[in-house]
Amino acid sequence: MSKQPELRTWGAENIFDFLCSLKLTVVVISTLALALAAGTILESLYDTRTSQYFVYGSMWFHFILASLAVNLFSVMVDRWPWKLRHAPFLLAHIGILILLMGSWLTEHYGLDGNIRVSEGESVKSVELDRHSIVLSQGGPEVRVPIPWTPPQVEFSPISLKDRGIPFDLTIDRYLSHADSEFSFIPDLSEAASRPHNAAAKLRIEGGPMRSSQEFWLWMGDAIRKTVQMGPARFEIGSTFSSPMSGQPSFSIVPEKVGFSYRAVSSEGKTVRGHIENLSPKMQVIDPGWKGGLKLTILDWQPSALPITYYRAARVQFGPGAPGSAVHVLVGKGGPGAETWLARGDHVMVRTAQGVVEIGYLPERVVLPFAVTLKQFKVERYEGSQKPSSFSSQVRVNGGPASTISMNEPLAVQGITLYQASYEDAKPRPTVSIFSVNQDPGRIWKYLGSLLIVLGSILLFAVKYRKSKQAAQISSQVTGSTRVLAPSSGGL
Amino acid sequence: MKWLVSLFVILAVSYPGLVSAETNMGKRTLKPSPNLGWSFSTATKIPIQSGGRVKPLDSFAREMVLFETGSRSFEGWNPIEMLFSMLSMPEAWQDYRFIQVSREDVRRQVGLDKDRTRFSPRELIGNPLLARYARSSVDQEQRASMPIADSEKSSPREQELNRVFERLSIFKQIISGESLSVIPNSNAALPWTTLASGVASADPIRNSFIQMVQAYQRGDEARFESASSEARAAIEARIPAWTNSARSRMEVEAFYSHARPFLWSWILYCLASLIWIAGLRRKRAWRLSAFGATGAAAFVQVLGISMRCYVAGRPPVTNMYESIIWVSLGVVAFASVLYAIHRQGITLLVANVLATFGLIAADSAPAMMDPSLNPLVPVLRSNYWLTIHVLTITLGYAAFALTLGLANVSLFHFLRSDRPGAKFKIASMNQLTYRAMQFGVVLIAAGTILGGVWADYSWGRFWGWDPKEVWALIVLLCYLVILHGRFAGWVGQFGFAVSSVISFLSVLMAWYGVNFVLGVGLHSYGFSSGGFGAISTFVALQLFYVGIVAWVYKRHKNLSSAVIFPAAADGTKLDGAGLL
Repeated sequence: MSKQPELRTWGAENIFDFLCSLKLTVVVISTLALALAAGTILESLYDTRTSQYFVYGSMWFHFILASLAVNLFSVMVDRWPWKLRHAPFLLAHIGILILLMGSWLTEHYGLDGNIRVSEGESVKSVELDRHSIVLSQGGPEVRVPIPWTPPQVEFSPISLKDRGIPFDLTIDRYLSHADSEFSFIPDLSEAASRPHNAAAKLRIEGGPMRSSQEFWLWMGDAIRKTVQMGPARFEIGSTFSSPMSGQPSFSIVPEKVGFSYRAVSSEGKTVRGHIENLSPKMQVIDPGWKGGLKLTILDWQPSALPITYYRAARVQFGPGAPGSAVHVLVGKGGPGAETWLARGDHVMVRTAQGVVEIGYLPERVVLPFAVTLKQFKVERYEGSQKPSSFSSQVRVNGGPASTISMNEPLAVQGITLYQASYEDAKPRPTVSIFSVNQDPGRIWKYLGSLLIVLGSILLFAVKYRKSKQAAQISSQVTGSTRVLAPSSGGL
Repeated sequence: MKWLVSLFVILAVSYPGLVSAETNMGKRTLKPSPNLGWSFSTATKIPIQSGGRVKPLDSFAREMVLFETGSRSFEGWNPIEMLFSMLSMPEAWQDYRFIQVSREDVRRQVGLDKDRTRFSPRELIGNPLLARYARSSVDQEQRASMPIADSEKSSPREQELNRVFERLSIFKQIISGESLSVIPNSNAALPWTTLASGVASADPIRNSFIQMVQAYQRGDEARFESASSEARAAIEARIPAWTNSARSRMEVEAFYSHARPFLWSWILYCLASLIWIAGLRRKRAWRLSAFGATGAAAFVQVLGISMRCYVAGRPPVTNMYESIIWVSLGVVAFASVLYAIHRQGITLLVANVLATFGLIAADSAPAMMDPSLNPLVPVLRSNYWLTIHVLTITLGYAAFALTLGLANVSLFHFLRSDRPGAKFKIASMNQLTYRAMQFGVVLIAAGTILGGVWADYSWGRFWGWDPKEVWALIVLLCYLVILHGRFAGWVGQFGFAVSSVISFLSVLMAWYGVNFVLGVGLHSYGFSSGGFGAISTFVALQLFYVGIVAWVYKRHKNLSSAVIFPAAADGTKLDGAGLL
């Protein structure tokens, strides 16, 4: 190459010129606008949390806001020393900086949670919209926050040992929206003290509706010992109970080897059988019921333990989507050394370091006062079920009664309680939900807002006066009646 | 949904009429016709409890006609007469084609005549496919445990099918008297009794209604009037805490519905626009009459808005319909201010045209933008900050609408940029556009911030990334980009006009799109659907116009040897230091 590109050295001055350049301003504002638009579209397609995760709460979005702040700051420094004519410009731009600062304070030091109180109850702690794994072994609790992760993003396992927490536990799986599934696993423990509770998984299909349904029978609890499906009754037990007349029934009883069954139709016709070995894991039985219904025994366990596990929910966003769940491994995991926890669950787990209680719980903040709900009231528009207003009568620390209603919050010791919603119930709702807030950035946000509005009004007003003066001058000079002269230099 | 439960009843049995037991008229099979020409003035003011408030029977009838037929007026029927006609000859109305089935795909799906949009109740009830669909939706309702049903929004086709069932159900409730809650309860907390209720059988109010229906059947106007007066007086006497102001609100509402101020207002705006166009280059007399017409239009509009506020007892902007009317008024107000400063008649012409289109749009789509006065959700009630916030932000929209109109005029001058003097006209139009934009920027900034103040006051959150507030911010940012670009000199006259037009798309998104297209967030009380076609057409036409102007302007620039407009690249700052 014959011609070398000229090398430009970038000194501090160049960097500053770049930081306070209008080009940067326009780029930052445009990027911000695009990012925001993307955020709202994402929210429309998925939900608020997804847009928070990918846009509003993300690093790159904070970077845009930070660039805006730096740009604003540099522009103001650039105008130094300030003169009176700079005032409108400075007010508007400092206002934005103060507003951003206020928002930052809120984000880092603010409190934003919910209280759910039913009538007569006193509540002291605020539930936050964040969840953590809580470990306790009698002593102080250890909390490990679990960040909400959308289904589109792979969850990276959290090993507590690696984090310096002395338990050999790993949170290896996370589902942002989890459906619970119920199943039985063979009880492998040899403990003779434990009764052997048999479980059977059945499928019923056919009939006029051509439907198919699967369910478990288990001797371990009353709800699963007898199950009513439409007109038919299903039962698992140590002995056959006498069939109810006029009702089809199916009973199953464990034997020394395998199990026996008995199906009775509504006319009293009986089918009996004994199955030694459920192989290949399935047995179709014709119980002789109306409509050609068929029964299939899908699984048989002479000694079974119930387990709950979770799967990614069918509904992954929107109001119908279920909450999150985590999977915890003890050591390397394996049977009996792993467990699922949905929100609000806690279980005891045996680890090498002794038995520990693990919970997957919302983070809480304890208030310096207790809120007691005396009464919750809903008023409705006349002759309809539409609520027109709702309000809560509360006592704070047993003090005098005060009312919190929509648009009428209650401030106590710098913390504000807002009427957020309620749980509808018949004959009348008695559970009130408050949003609880403490916002150290509030004053700054209000100040910033005021300056922005004041500054921009002044900016345009001053400009208008100048353009009018210019117009007068130009008409004097040229004698023409130009009304709209281009305005001359603002800064 | 309660109405679905009653579907089997509708589809299975024929409807019992309110007065079928009392009348000896027999079944009329004539087609009912609105030939009486009665005034119905007393009947319109009979109080009825419906939709969470007490309203004049007239408003009830209007809402019914709109819901059933999808149109504000149906074949020349006075709504109240249509109501009484239904009550007096329910059998004949079974064969009257008045129930709207608006979607062609729905008509094809259930095998109805696809070229018609209105069908008789008998046609719909007798339709086997519709009946099957009704049954399957009831099944779906019963399978309440299905999680998928909650999250899946029903398709527009299903929504229309459900609306058809609802229309049938409401027709049935009207002729049976079930939806006519006109017998006040002495306990104000309890709903009023309907005419169909067994408790009401001996009630004098029910009697008066039967008298009215019978008088209507006989064609006896005098008796109808006297029975209406009896009914009205009897009801008013029994409403607990009935006051004169409640009575006068009722009268104003009946008058408001009858007078249709916004219809007159847009006619006047249209007239004013024509006079402005005719008088642009003429004498004072033209100008004065143009002022007169604009003033009259705005006066009628203000009157209409005041009546709505008085009747509903709330600020003027709570839904799309009201916001369009308010914004139209705002456009005229800003144009008047600009006119007072700059004495440019074109400003008022643009405002008149915008107001005409705005009011026509609000007036023409009652099915999409419900003009009826409905009760507000709790969060919107009696809130000082909310009122200020909404009025400010919508005035911001108004200023940007004016910006759009003025920028379009500026683009028009670009079409003729080969003529002498065009440059000056463009500069002058752009200056006006810029002024309007300044109003908009200040108001949208203030309005967005006031929204934060309201949210902070009501929910304890100054800013929560709600789509409506985010889009208000995007609007502000879009216009800020123009202002800063103009200040830097990157945006020339042409760029300024074009970007002023394009930026209005962000206003459309914030105003219409968030509620009607995105449909998420805390502002859910304003959600609705429809109008997408109209808005898209507008956007397409607007972009097409911009494209044409750009093409013509480029040709002019290439043709003329001299550069008519120095482009921004020349480094000429067209407006001096534009922004700051």
